Amino acid sequence: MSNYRFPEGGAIVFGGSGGLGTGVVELLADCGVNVAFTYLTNEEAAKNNLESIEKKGVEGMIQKVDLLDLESTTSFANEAKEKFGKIHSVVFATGPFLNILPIMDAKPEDVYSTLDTDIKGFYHVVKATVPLLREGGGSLTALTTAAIHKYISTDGLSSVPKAGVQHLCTAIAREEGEHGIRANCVAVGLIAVGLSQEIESPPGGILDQWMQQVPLNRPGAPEELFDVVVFLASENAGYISGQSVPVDGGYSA
Amino acid sequence: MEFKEKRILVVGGSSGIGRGIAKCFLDLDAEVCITGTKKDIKDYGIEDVVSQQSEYIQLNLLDPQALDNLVIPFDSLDVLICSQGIVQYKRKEFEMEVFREVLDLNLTSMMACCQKFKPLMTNAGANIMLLGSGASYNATRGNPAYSASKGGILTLLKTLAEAWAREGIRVNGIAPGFVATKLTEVTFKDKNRYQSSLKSIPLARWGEAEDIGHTACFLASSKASYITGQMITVDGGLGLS
Repeated sequence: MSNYRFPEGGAIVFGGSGGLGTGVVELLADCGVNVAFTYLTNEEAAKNNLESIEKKGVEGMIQKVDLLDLESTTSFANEAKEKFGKIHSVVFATGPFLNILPIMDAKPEDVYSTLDTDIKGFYHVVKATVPLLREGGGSLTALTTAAIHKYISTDGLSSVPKAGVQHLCTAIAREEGEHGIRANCVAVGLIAVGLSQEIESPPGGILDQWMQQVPLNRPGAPEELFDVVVFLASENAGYISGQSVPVDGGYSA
Repeated sequence: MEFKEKRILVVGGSSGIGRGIAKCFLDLDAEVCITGTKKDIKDYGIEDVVSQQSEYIQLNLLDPQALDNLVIPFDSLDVLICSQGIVQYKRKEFEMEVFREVLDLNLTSMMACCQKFKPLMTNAGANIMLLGSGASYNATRGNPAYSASKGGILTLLKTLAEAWAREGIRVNGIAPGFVATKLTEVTFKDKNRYQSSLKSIPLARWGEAEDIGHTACFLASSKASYITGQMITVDGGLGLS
């Protein structure tokens, strides 16, 4: 299973400098896939990742892109298409910093900005890339959260917008299937990488509560997440569309 | 490849989706044993990698004693796949005797297989997969027993996943959409029904047994080692509306 099947062309990963995106970019490159990816603030991490995948013998491309700007999102996607000839896979791996608090305690401006970053950002990704995927079919894979499947208190700012992302995926699966486009989500559980590492959680806080509900009784290893993302993006999952696959050690079961 | 020297048992692997799953594991160099109701694998009349390379055992799960007496050629088991299943058309499933028989085979025998083979599943990474269906989530017109059995599989696998996680055994399922097998003959052999089924599938094609097989191999592999208690739908988007 080390080689997932991909057609000729390349992939775009939105958010390729964060903890989750970096690993997805690397694994795609390990599968021989050319990857264009974006960053927003962490230019150094993005450059290191680019260098690392070029060493693997694939082509890469990076750019600072603010997904709230439709025009630059679209022009980045088009440049990637130009460079690789064809785009067969798109991965959405960005997320805003998580404010952990009850929804009624959140400041309205924080709620608006998280909704924007996730839903508007992902809508722009869809708007920019679906026309490219229509050319030869392909996959759209979004990273969301297992808290969509089972809510956990104080996680609303994360799971509410991600639920919107998930439903946008469903819309694409339903409406663009005839073009050979698949759209799926990976519902991320507690993984020892990425934004969850930045959460401040005192003993008995959200992380402890979450952990108590994980039958496998451990956080996931980063690789356990990357593999599922790349599997869903690949042709090995060619008949899977419109699904949300939790990688959560059984948390949402 | 990852499944070299791994031992896989596919209950109901003699035909249909189970056979497609067995084939994918064989392609990845696994040691595969399949079961079927006929006396010999040759009786299925298919010459392929499955008939050539897998061990075959006759097993009729409608006989309650059949499992008790069953001996498989493995002394340990890495992956158990339960893909046995029947369906009865023409409203027969509204008759209690038939309802019970379908439940016995489709649901109860899966639990029996899990209990029977779990003691062999002591290797790291051991896992179980139960075959569900779109009927695990929605009504199937005219088939109360089939739907109830497939719905039961969904919560059975979640419950077993929770129960056996600390012993290191993952339990998942796959819910296939339309795949051409003897269970779906009534649909794909009727030209009108077949055409109308295509309209309801966003990807506009029926699945192949191998589509299900690839997902089964992925879920069974260490790549999916943080996934447990999940039913993965492989239906080309059929269930979305």
